[in-house]
Amino acid sequence: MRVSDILESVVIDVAGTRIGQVHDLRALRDGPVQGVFGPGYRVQALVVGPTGVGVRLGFDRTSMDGPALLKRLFRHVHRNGRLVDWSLIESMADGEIHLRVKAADLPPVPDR
Amino acid sequence: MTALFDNARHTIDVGLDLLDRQLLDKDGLMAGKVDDLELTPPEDDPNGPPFITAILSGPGALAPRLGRLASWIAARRLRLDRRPGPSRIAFGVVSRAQTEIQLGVSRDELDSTTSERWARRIIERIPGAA
Repeated sequence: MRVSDILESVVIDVAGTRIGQVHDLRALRDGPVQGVFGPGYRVQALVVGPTGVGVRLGFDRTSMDGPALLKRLFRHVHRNGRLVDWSLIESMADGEIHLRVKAADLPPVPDR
Repeated sequence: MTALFDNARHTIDVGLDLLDRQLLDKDGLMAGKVDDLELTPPEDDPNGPPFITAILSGPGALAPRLGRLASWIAARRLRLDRRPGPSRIAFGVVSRAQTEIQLGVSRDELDSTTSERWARRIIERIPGAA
């Protein structure tokens, strides 16, 4: 499996409601040691939102430096973004990811 | 071997912090870009959260992110080169992952620079190119 297999997949909650698309994957460095790199990255969750505008610039996340006006604009645009823990994924195929929970039960995207 | 912790962030957003980053080899020379990443599930849990196990770079790696036409072109390009897929760089050779991705190996050992080496052989034969 590749990261590109997951990015832009449509995410649907247990009630059949479309939440948005996968804009990024959050990963933690708590995997097995990999050669000279050290502990590897494990995918913890999906960053999901209804719109992808500005996501690749990182302005939707407060830890990213940038013009204050752009950051405020993009944070407003992405206020409905949600973090989907990997354990909440029911199935993943053909560009669709089905969850085992309702959209309302998902937390907003916390800072890294 | 002592595990390194200060050569990369503890928490990352993969698209923001790894994809499209410049690869540098052990001598600081450019060695391609992070076009995609290979994910591998845990051995004891095929549906568990996967690990990032390799960087995919070069022809065939970027195409799936660009759409069907790009994938079609890349597939034919790989067939011409008689290669089964894009270049795979094990994450274990990454020595530092920050603004750029530093590798612990020479770029001559990587498949991701095959196209560049091929182009250099052609260009070197053009009078005045040296």
